[in-house]
Amino acid sequence: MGEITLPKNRITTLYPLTKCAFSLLIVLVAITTFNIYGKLAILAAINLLAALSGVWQLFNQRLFKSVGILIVLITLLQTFFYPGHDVLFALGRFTATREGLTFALKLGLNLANIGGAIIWLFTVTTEKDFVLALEKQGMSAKASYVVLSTLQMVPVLKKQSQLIMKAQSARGVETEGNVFVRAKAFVPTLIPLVLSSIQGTEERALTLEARGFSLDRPKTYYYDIHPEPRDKMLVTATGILAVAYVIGKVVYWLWV
Amino acid sequence: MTQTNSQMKKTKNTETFSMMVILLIPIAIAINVVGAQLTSLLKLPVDLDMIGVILVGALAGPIPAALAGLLTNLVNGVLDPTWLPYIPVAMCIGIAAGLLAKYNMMNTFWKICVSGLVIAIVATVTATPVTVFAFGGITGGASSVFITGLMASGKKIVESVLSVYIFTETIGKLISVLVAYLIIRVIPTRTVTKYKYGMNYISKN
Repeated sequence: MGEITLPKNRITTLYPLTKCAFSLLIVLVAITTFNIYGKLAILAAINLLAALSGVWQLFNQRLFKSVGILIVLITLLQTFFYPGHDVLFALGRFTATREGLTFALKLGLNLANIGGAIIWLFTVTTEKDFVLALEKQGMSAKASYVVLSTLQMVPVLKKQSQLIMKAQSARGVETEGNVFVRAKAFVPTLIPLVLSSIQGTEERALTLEARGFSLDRPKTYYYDIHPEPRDKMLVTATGILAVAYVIGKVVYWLWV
Repeated sequence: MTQTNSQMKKTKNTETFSMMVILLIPIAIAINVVGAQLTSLLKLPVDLDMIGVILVGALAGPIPAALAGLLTNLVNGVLDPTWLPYIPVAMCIGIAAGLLAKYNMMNTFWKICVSGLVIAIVATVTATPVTVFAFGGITGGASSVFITGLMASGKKIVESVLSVYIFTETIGKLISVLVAYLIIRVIPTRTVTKYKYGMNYISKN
Protein backbone atom coordinates (compact mmCIF):
# COMPACT_ATOMS: atom_id res chain seq x y z
CA MET A 1 0.00 0.00 0.00
CA GLY A 2 3.05 2.26 -0.09
CA GLU A 3 3.01 5.26 -2.38
CA ILE A 4 4.39 4.49 -5.80
CA THR A 5 4.64 6.76 -8.78
CA LEU A 6 2.84 5.29 -11.75
CA PRO A 7 4.34 5.69 -15.18
CA LYS A 8 2.04 7.98 -17.17
CA ASN A 9 0.97 6.27 -20.36
CA ARG A 10 -2.15 5.45 -22.33
CA ILE A 11 -3.15 2.57 -20.10
CA THR A 12 -2.39 3.90 -16.65
CA THR A 13 -4.23 7.17 -17.30
CA LEU A 14 -7.47 5.41 -18.23
CA TYR A 15 -10.47 5.94 -15.96
CA PRO A 16 -10.33 3.42 -13.05
CA LEU A 17 -13.59 1.73 -14.04
CA THR A 18 -12.29 1.16 -17.58
CA LYS A 19 -9.32 -0.71 -16.18
CA CYS A 20 -11.67 -2.53 -13.82
CA ALA A 21 -13.71 -3.68 -16.84
CA PHE A 22 -10.54 -5.08 -18.46
CA SER A 23 -9.67 -6.87 -15.25
CA LEU A 24 -13.16 -8.36 -14.91
CA LEU A 25 -13.02 -9.60 -18.52
CA ILE A 26 -9.72 -11.36 -17.77
CA VAL A 27 -11.23 -12.95 -14.65
CA LEU A 28 -14.25 -14.09 -16.68
CA VAL A 29 -12.06 -15.71 -19.32
CA ALA A 30 -9.76 -17.20 -16.66
CA ILE A 31 -12.53 -18.97 -14.75
CA THR A 32 -14.10 -20.38 -17.90
CA THR A 33 -10.90 -21.73 -19.43
CA PHE A 34 -10.12 -25.27 -18.36
CA ASN A 35 -7.26 -26.14 -20.69
CA ILE A 36 -3.73 -25.77 -19.29
CA TYR A 37 -2.40 -24.16 -22.49
CA GLY A 38 -5.34 -21.77 -22.51
CA LYS A 39 -4.53 -20.82 -18.93
CA LEU A 40 -0.89 -20.27 -19.86
CA ALA A 41 -1.99 -18.05 -22.75
CA ILE A 42 -4.05 -15.94 -20.35
CA LEU A 43 -1.08 -15.55 -18.02
CA ALA A 44 1.01 -14.44 -20.99
CA ALA A 45 -1.71 -11.97 -21.97
CA ILE A 46 -1.78 -10.46 -18.47
CA ASN A 47 2.01 -10.15 -18.55
CA LEU A 48 1.78 -8.43 -21.93
CA LEU A 49 -0.83 -6.04 -20.54
CA ALA A 50 1.40 -5.30 -17.55
CA ALA A 51 4.37 -4.71 -19.85
CA LEU A 52 2.33 -2.38 -22.07
CA SER A 53 1.29 -0.44 -18.95
CA GLY A 54 4.96 -0.09 -18.03
CA VAL A 55 4.62 -1.89 -14.69
CA TRP A 56 5.84 -5.36 -15.66
CA GLN A 57 8.53 -5.58 -12.96
CA LEU A 58 6.38 -4.26 -10.11
CA PHE A 59 3.47 -6.43 -11.24
CA ASN A 60 5.56 -9.58 -11.14
CA GLN A 61 7.08 -8.70 -7.79
CA ARG A 62 3.62 -8.35 -6.31
CA LEU A 63 2.29 -11.44 -8.04
CA PHE A 64 5.19 -13.49 -6.73
CA LYS A 65 4.84 -12.16 -3.18
CA SER A 66 1.12 -12.91 -2.99
CA VAL A 67 0.50 -16.09 -4.97
CA GLY A 68 3.94 -17.12 -6.31
CA ILE A 69 5.16 -18.85 -3.17
CA LEU A 70 1.76 -20.42 -2.64
CA ILE A 71 1.80 -21.83 -6.17
CA VAL A 72 5.23 -23.42 -5.62
CA LEU A 73 3.95 -24.93 -2.35
CA ILE A 74 0.76 -26.21 -3.97
CA THR A 75 2.65 -27.75 -6.88
CA LEU A 76 5.10 -29.55 -4.59
CA LEU A 77 2.49 -30.86 -2.17
CA GLN A 78 -0.35 -31.72 -4.54
CA THR A 79 1.98 -33.54 -6.94
CA PHE A 80 2.85 -35.94 -4.16
CA PHE A 81 -0.36 -36.09 -2.15
CA TYR A 82 -3.21 -35.74 -4.64
CA PRO A 83 -4.81 -39.18 -5.13
CA GLY A 84 -3.74 -40.63 -8.48
CA HIS A 85 -2.42 -43.77 -10.16
CA ASP A 86 -0.25 -42.55 -13.04
CA VAL A 87 3.12 -42.47 -11.25
CA LEU A 88 5.72 -40.06 -12.61
CA PHE A 89 8.53 -40.79 -10.15
CA ALA A 90 9.02 -41.76 -6.52
CA LEU A 91 10.90 -39.99 -3.76
CA GLY A 92 11.40 -42.22 -0.75
CA ARG A 93 7.95 -43.42 0.27
CA PHE A 94 6.14 -40.62 -1.60
CA THR A 95 5.13 -40.93 -5.22
CA ALA A 96 4.53 -38.07 -7.62
CA THR A 97 1.48 -38.66 -9.83
CA ARG A 98 0.48 -37.14 -13.14
CA GLU A 99 -3.02 -36.46 -11.79
CA GLY A 100 -1.50 -34.53 -8.89
CA LEU A 101 0.76 -32.48 -11.14
CA THR A 102 -2.08 -31.63 -13.54
CA PHE A 103 -4.38 -30.68 -10.66
CA ALA A 104 -1.65 -28.52 -9.09
CA LEU A 105 -0.78 -26.76 -12.35
CA LYS A 106 -4.41 -25.99 -13.15
CA LEU A 107 -5.03 -24.68 -9.65
CA GLY A 108 -1.79 -22.69 -9.66
CA LEU A 109 -2.49 -21.11 -13.04
CA ASN A 110 -6.02 -20.22 -11.93
CA LEU A 111 -4.62 -18.46 -8.88
CA ALA A 112 -2.00 -16.68 -10.98
CA ASN A 113 -4.55 -15.58 -13.59
CA ILE A 114 -7.33 -14.36 -11.32
CA GLY A 115 -4.84 -12.95 -8.82
CA GLY A 116 -2.87 -11.41 -11.66
CA ALA A 117 -5.89 -9.62 -13.11
CA ILE A 118 -6.62 -8.05 -9.72
CA ILE A 119 -3.00 -7.23 -8.97
CA TRP A 120 -2.60 -5.61 -12.39
CA LEU A 121 -5.69 -3.47 -11.75
CA PHE A 122 -4.32 -2.15 -8.46
CA THR A 123 -0.82 -1.76 -9.81
CA VAL A 124 -2.00 0.62 -12.53
CA THR A 125 -4.73 2.27 -10.43
CA THR A 126 -4.31 4.02 -7.10
CA GLU A 127 -6.87 2.97 -4.49
CA LYS A 128 -7.80 6.63 -4.12
CA ASP A 129 -8.83 6.95 -7.77
CA PHE A 130 -10.63 3.64 -7.67
CA VAL A 131 -12.69 4.55 -4.61
CA LEU A 132 -13.46 8.01 -6.01
CA ALA A 133 -14.69 6.44 -9.25
CA LEU A 134 -16.92 4.05 -7.27
CA GLU A 135 -18.28 6.95 -5.22
CA LYS A 136 -19.21 8.74 -8.43
CA GLN A 137 -21.08 5.60 -9.50
CA GLY A 138 -23.25 5.94 -6.43
CA MET A 139 -21.31 4.31 -3.59
CA SER A 140 -21.95 6.16 -0.34
CA ALA A 141 -19.39 8.71 0.82
CA LYS A 142 -19.30 6.96 4.18
CA ALA A 143 -18.13 3.75 2.53
CA SER A 144 -15.39 5.50 0.61
CA TYR A 145 -14.28 7.29 3.77
CA VAL A 146 -14.04 3.95 5.56
CA VAL A 147 -11.98 2.40 2.75
CA LEU A 148 -9.63 5.35 2.36
CA SER A 149 -9.02 5.85 6.06
CA THR A 150 -8.39 2.11 6.42
CA LEU A 151 -5.78 2.27 3.68
CA GLN A 152 -4.11 5.13 5.53
CA MET A 153 -4.37 3.55 8.93
CA VAL A 154 -3.07 0.06 8.20
CA PRO A 155 0.57 0.95 7.43
CA VAL A 156 0.67 3.43 10.32
CA LEU A 157 -0.61 0.92 12.84
CA LYS A 158 1.65 -1.80 11.46
CA LYS A 159 4.65 0.40 12.11
CA GLN A 160 3.34 1.42 15.51
CA SER A 161 2.82 -2.20 16.55
CA GLN A 162 6.47 -2.99 15.91
CA LEU A 163 7.40 0.03 18.00
CA ILE A 164 5.14 -1.05 20.85
CA MET A 165 6.52 -4.56 20.71
CA LYS A 166 10.05 -3.22 21.10
CA ALA A 167 8.96 -0.92 23.91
CA GLN A 168 7.20 -3.75 25.73
CA SER A 169 10.13 -6.11 25.35
CA ALA A 170 12.33 -3.37 26.82
CA ARG A 171 9.97 -3.42 29.81
CA GLY A 172 10.45 -7.15 30.18
CA VAL A 173 7.59 -8.62 28.10
CA GLU A 174 9.13 -11.67 26.49
CA THR A 175 8.70 -11.89 22.73
CA GLU A 176 10.84 -14.99 22.31
CA GLY A 177 10.68 -18.43 23.88
CA ASN A 178 8.09 -21.21 23.68
CA VAL A 179 4.59 -20.81 22.22
CA PHE A 180 2.98 -19.80 25.51
CA VAL A 181 5.62 -17.19 26.30
CA ARG A 182 5.24 -15.69 22.83
CA ALA A 183 1.44 -15.83 23.03
CA LYS A 184 1.56 -13.82 26.24
CA ALA A 185 3.26 -10.97 24.37
CA PHE A 186 0.31 -10.66 22.00
CA VAL A 187 -2.10 -8.81 24.29
CA PRO A 188 0.34 -6.22 25.73
CA THR A 189 1.27 -5.29 22.17
CA LEU A 190 -2.19 -5.10 20.68
CA ILE A 191 -4.03 -3.30 23.47
CA PRO A 192 -1.98 -0.06 23.67
CA LEU A 193 -2.22 0.16 19.91
CA VAL A 194 -5.99 -0.21 19.82
CA LEU A 195 -6.55 2.10 22.76
CA SER A 196 -4.59 4.97 21.28
CA SER A 197 -6.47 4.72 18.01
CA ILE A 198 -9.93 4.35 19.58
CA GLN A 199 -9.33 7.32 21.84
CA GLY A 200 -8.76 9.42 18.75
CA THR A 201 -12.15 8.57 17.24
CA GLU A 202 -14.22 11.11 19.16
CA GLU A 203 -12.01 13.95 18.00
CA ARG A 204 -12.08 12.63 14.48
CA ALA A 205 -15.87 12.44 14.59
CA LEU A 206 -16.00 16.11 15.57
CA THR A 207 -13.54 17.03 12.83
CA LEU A 208 -15.62 15.26 10.21
CA GLU A 209 -18.90 16.73 11.43
CA ALA A 210 -17.37 20.22 11.38
CA ARG A 211 -16.75 19.68 7.66
CA GLY A 212 -20.33 18.63 7.00
CA PHE A 213 -19.56 14.94 6.50
CA SER A 214 -23.03 13.64 7.37
CA LEU A 215 -24.98 16.34 5.52
CA ASP A 216 -27.36 15.01 2.88
CA ARG A 217 -25.99 17.30 0.20
CA PRO A 218 -23.94 16.71 -2.93
CA LYS A 219 -20.25 16.65 -1.99
CA THR A 220 -17.54 18.81 -3.48
CA TYR A 221 -14.10 17.37 -4.21
CA TYR A 222 -10.59 18.70 -3.73
CA TYR A 223 -9.32 15.97 -5.96
CA ASP A 224 -11.35 14.93 -8.97
CA ILE A 225 -11.21 12.62 -11.97
CA HIS A 226 -13.44 12.33 -15.02
CA PRO A 227 -13.97 9.63 -17.64
CA GLU A 228 -13.00 10.64 -21.16
CA PRO A 229 -14.77 9.69 -24.40
CA ARG A 230 -12.24 6.91 -25.04
CA ASP A 231 -13.18 5.38 -21.66
CA LYS A 232 -16.81 5.10 -22.67
CA MET A 233 -15.77 3.52 -25.96
CA LEU A 234 -13.41 1.03 -24.30
CA VAL A 235 -15.95 -0.01 -21.65
CA THR A 236 -18.58 -0.60 -24.34
CA ALA A 237 -16.06 -2.58 -26.40
CA THR A 238 -15.09 -4.67 -23.36
CA GLY A 239 -18.75 -5.30 -22.62
CA ILE A 240 -19.47 -6.43 -26.18
CA LEU A 241 -16.38 -8.63 -26.10
CA ALA A 242 -17.51 -10.22 -22.84
CA VAL A 243 -21.01 -10.94 -24.17
CA ALA A 244 -19.58 -12.31 -27.42
CA TYR A 245 -17.18 -14.50 -25.44
CA VAL A 246 -19.95 -15.92 -23.26
CA ILE A 247 -22.19 -16.63 -26.26
CA GLY A 248 -19.26 -18.20 -28.12
CA LYS A 249 -18.42 -20.37 -25.12
CA VAL A 250 -22.00 -21.56 -24.67
CA VAL A 251 -22.38 -22.34 -28.38
CA TYR A 252 -19.07 -24.23 -28.31
CA TRP A 253 -20.17 -26.30 -25.32
CA LEU A 254 -23.53 -27.14 -26.85
CA TRP A 255 -21.89 -28.22 -30.11
CA VAL A 256 -19.00 -30.25 -28.83
CA MET B 1 -32.84 9.63 5.73
CA THR B 2 -33.92 13.27 5.93
CA GLN B 3 -37.34 12.50 7.37
CA THR B 4 -35.93 10.56 10.25
CA ASN B 5 -33.13 13.02 10.99
CA SER B 6 -34.79 14.43 14.09
CA GLN B 7 -35.43 10.94 15.44
CA MET B 8 -31.88 9.89 14.70
CA LYS B 9 -30.43 12.72 16.71
CA LYS B 10 -32.21 11.50 19.81
CA THR B 11 -31.07 7.90 19.35
CA LYS B 12 -27.63 8.55 17.95
CA ASN B 13 -25.91 5.56 19.54
CA THR B 14 -28.56 3.02 18.54
CA GLU B 15 -28.22 3.93 14.87
CA THR B 16 -26.54 1.08 12.94
CA PHE B 17 -23.99 3.26 11.15
CA SER B 18 -23.40 6.09 13.57
CA MET B 19 -20.31 8.24 13.22
CA MET B 20 -18.62 6.26 16.00
CA VAL B 21 -19.18 3.02 14.09
CA ILE B 22 -17.89 4.49 10.84
CA LEU B 23 -14.74 5.52 12.65
CA LEU B 24 -14.45 2.16 14.44
CA ILE B 25 -14.47 0.08 11.26
CA PRO B 26 -11.10 1.31 9.87
CA ILE B 27 -9.51 0.71 13.26
CA ALA B 28 -11.02 -2.78 13.37
CA ILE B 29 -9.62 -3.59 9.94
CA ALA B 30 -6.22 -2.33 11.03
CA ILE B 31 -6.50 -4.52 14.17
CA ASN B 32 -7.15 -7.52 11.92
CA VAL B 33 -4.10 -6.75 9.82
CA VAL B 34 -1.89 -6.08 12.82
CA GLY B 35 -3.23 -9.20 14.53
CA ALA B 36 -2.23 -11.26 11.52
CA GLN B 37 1.16 -9.56 11.45
CA LEU B 38 1.74 -10.14 15.17
CA THR B 39 0.88 -13.82 14.91
CA SER B 40 3.51 -14.20 12.22
CA LEU B 41 6.05 -12.05 14.10
CA LEU B 42 5.53 -14.04 17.30
CA LYS B 43 5.32 -17.25 15.25
CA LEU B 44 2.03 -18.32 16.81
CA PRO B 45 0.39 -21.34 15.17
CA VAL B 46 -3.17 -19.90 15.10
CA ASP B 47 -4.78 -17.25 12.90
CA LEU B 48 -5.79 -14.19 14.91
CA ASP B 49 -6.81 -12.06 11.94
CA MET B 50 -10.49 -11.55 12.82
CA ILE B 51 -10.20 -9.81 16.22
CA GLY B 52 -11.28 -6.48 14.75
CA VAL B 53 -14.35 -7.97 13.08
CA ILE B 54 -15.38 -9.63 16.35
CA LEU B 55 -14.78 -6.34 18.17
CA VAL B 56 -17.10 -4.46 15.80
CA GLY B 57 -19.68 -7.22 16.18
CA ALA B 58 -19.48 -7.05 19.95
CA LEU B 59 -19.90 -3.28 20.04
CA ALA B 60 -22.01 -2.40 17.01
CA GLY B 61 -23.89 -5.53 15.92
CA PRO B 62 -24.00 -7.85 12.92
CA ILE B 63 -24.30 -5.49 9.95
CA PRO B 64 -21.31 -3.22 10.70
CA ALA B 65 -19.30 -6.33 11.59
CA ALA B 66 -20.16 -7.99 8.29
CA LEU B 67 -19.07 -4.79 6.54
CA ALA B 68 -15.82 -4.78 8.53
CA GLY B 69 -15.23 -8.38 7.46
CA LEU B 70 -15.93 -7.59 3.82
CA LEU B 71 -13.62 -4.58 3.83
CA THR B 72 -10.84 -6.42 5.69
CA ASN B 73 -10.67 -9.00 2.95
CA LEU B 74 -11.06 -6.45 0.15
CA VAL B 75 -8.30 -4.22 1.51
CA ASN B 76 -5.98 -7.17 2.03
CA GLY B 77 -7.06 -8.59 -1.32
CA VAL B 78 -5.72 -5.58 -3.20
CA LEU B 79 -2.17 -6.73 -2.50
CA ASP B 80 -2.84 -10.42 -1.89
CA PRO B 81 -5.84 -11.72 -3.87
CA THR B 82 -5.86 -15.00 -1.92
CA TRP B 83 -7.91 -13.10 0.72
CA LEU B 84 -10.78 -12.50 -1.69
CA PRO B 85 -12.38 -15.99 -1.74
CA TYR B 86 -12.67 -15.77 2.06
CA ILE B 87 -14.96 -12.71 1.96
CA PRO B 88 -18.09 -14.75 2.85
CA VAL B 89 -16.20 -16.34 5.76
CA ALA B 90 -15.24 -12.97 7.24
CA MET B 91 -18.78 -11.66 6.78
CA CYS B 92 -20.31 -14.72 8.47
CA ILE B 93 -17.90 -14.37 11.39
CA GLY B 94 -18.99 -10.73 11.71
CA ILE B 95 -22.69 -11.61 11.59
CA ALA B 96 -22.21 -14.38 14.15
CA ALA B 97 -20.27 -12.10 16.51
CA GLY B 98 -22.86 -9.35 16.10
CA LEU B 99 -25.79 -11.64 16.82
CA LEU B 100 -24.03 -13.08 19.87
CA ALA B 101 -23.48 -9.53 21.15
CA LYS B 102 -27.11 -8.68 20.49
CA TYR B 103 -28.17 -11.48 22.82
CA ASN B 104 -25.55 -10.33 25.32
CA MET B 105 -23.32 -13.39 24.96
CA MET B 106 -19.94 -11.69 25.32
CA ASN B 107 -19.57 -10.30 28.81
CA THR B 108 -18.67 -13.13 31.16
CA PHE B 109 -16.01 -15.79 30.86
CA TRP B 110 -18.30 -18.74 30.15
CA LYS B 111 -20.37 -16.70 27.68
CA ILE B 112 -17.16 -15.73 25.88
CA CYS B 113 -16.19 -19.40 25.64
CA VAL B 114 -19.61 -20.28 24.17
CA SER B 115 -19.35 -17.36 21.73
CA GLY B 116 -15.85 -18.41 20.74
CA LEU B 117 -17.08 -21.93 20.00
CA VAL B 118 -20.06 -20.70 17.99
CA ILE B 119 -17.88 -18.36 15.93
CA ALA B 120 -15.33 -21.17 15.45
CA ILE B 121 -18.04 -23.47 14.09
CA VAL B 122 -19.29 -20.75 11.74
CA ALA B 123 -15.73 -20.09 10.57
CA THR B 124 -14.98 -23.79 10.03
CA VAL B 125 -18.19 -24.50 8.12
CA THR B 126 -17.73 -21.49 5.82
CA ALA B 127 -13.96 -21.65 5.36
CA THR B 128 -13.68 -25.35 4.55
CA PRO B 129 -15.45 -25.23 1.15
CA VAL B 130 -13.42 -22.16 0.17
CA THR B 131 -10.11 -23.80 1.08
CA VAL B 132 -11.08 -27.02 -0.71
CA PHE B 133 -12.49 -25.54 -3.92
CA ALA B 134 -10.31 -22.47 -4.38
CA PHE B 135 -7.02 -23.86 -3.11
CA GLY B 136 -7.30 -27.64 -3.09
CA GLY B 137 -6.72 -27.68 0.66
CA ILE B 138 -3.40 -25.83 0.86
CA THR B 139 -3.37 -22.10 1.55
CA GLY B 140 0.18 -21.66 2.84
CA GLY B 141 -1.10 -20.73 6.29
CA ALA B 142 -0.11 -22.25 9.60
CA SER B 143 -2.72 -25.00 9.31
CA SER B 144 -1.45 -26.19 5.89
CA VAL B 145 1.27 -28.30 7.47
CA PHE B 146 -1.28 -30.37 9.38
CA ILE B 147 -3.69 -30.54 6.45
CA THR B 148 -0.96 -31.89 4.17
CA GLY B 149 0.02 -34.36 6.85
CA LEU B 150 -3.52 -35.73 6.97
CA MET B 151 -3.77 -35.76 3.17
CA ALA B 152 -0.50 -37.70 3.02
CA SER B 153 -1.90 -40.28 5.40
CA GLY B 154 -4.60 -40.98 2.82
CA LYS B 155 -7.53 -38.89 4.05
CA LYS B 156 -9.77 -37.05 1.60
CA ILE B 157 -9.13 -33.31 1.12
CA VAL B 158 -12.43 -32.19 2.69
CA GLU B 159 -11.95 -34.49 5.65
CA SER B 160 -8.38 -33.27 6.26
CA VAL B 161 -9.29 -29.60 6.00
CA LEU B 162 -12.36 -29.95 8.20
CA SER B 163 -10.62 -31.85 10.97
CA VAL B 164 -7.70 -29.42 11.10
CA TYR B 165 -9.91 -26.31 10.92
CA ILE B 166 -12.16 -27.51 13.75
CA PHE B 167 -9.08 -27.64 15.94
CA THR B 168 -7.22 -24.46 14.87
CA GLU B 169 -10.36 -22.34 14.55
CA THR B 170 -11.60 -23.30 18.01
CA ILE B 171 -8.38 -22.18 19.64
CA GLY B 172 -8.00 -19.15 17.35
CA LYS B 173 -11.54 -17.85 17.75
CA LEU B 174 -11.61 -18.46 21.52
CA ILE B 175 -8.49 -16.32 21.85
CA SER B 176 -9.86 -13.74 19.40
CA VAL B 177 -13.12 -13.27 21.32
CA LEU B 178 -11.21 -13.07 24.58
CA VAL B 179 -8.82 -10.43 23.19
CA ALA B 180 -11.75 -8.45 21.75
CA TYR B 181 -13.37 -8.54 25.20
CA LEU B 182 -10.13 -7.40 26.86
CA ILE B 183 -9.96 -4.51 24.39
CA ILE B 184 -13.53 -3.49 25.21
CA ARG B 185 -12.79 -3.63 28.93
CA VAL B 186 -9.92 -1.15 28.62
CA ILE B 187 -11.73 1.31 26.35
CA PRO B 188 -12.93 4.19 28.55
CA THR B 189 -16.56 3.77 29.63
CA ARG B 190 -17.61 7.08 28.11
CA THR B 191 -16.49 5.83 24.70
CA VAL B 192 -17.88 2.29 25.04
CA THR B 193 -21.39 3.55 25.83
CA LYS B 194 -21.47 5.41 22.52
CA TYR B 195 -21.76 2.09 20.68
CA LYS B 196 -25.03 0.23 20.25
CA TYR B 197 -24.28 -2.69 22.58
CA GLY B 198 -21.71 -0.85 24.68
CA MET B 199 -23.93 -0.84 27.78
CA ASN B 200 -23.55 -4.62 28.02
CA TYR B 201 -19.88 -4.32 28.91
CA ILE B 202 -19.89 -1.82 31.78
CA SER B 203 -20.52 -2.78 35.36
CA LYS B 204 -23.67 -1.13 36.60
CA ASN B 205 -22.60 -0.47 40.20
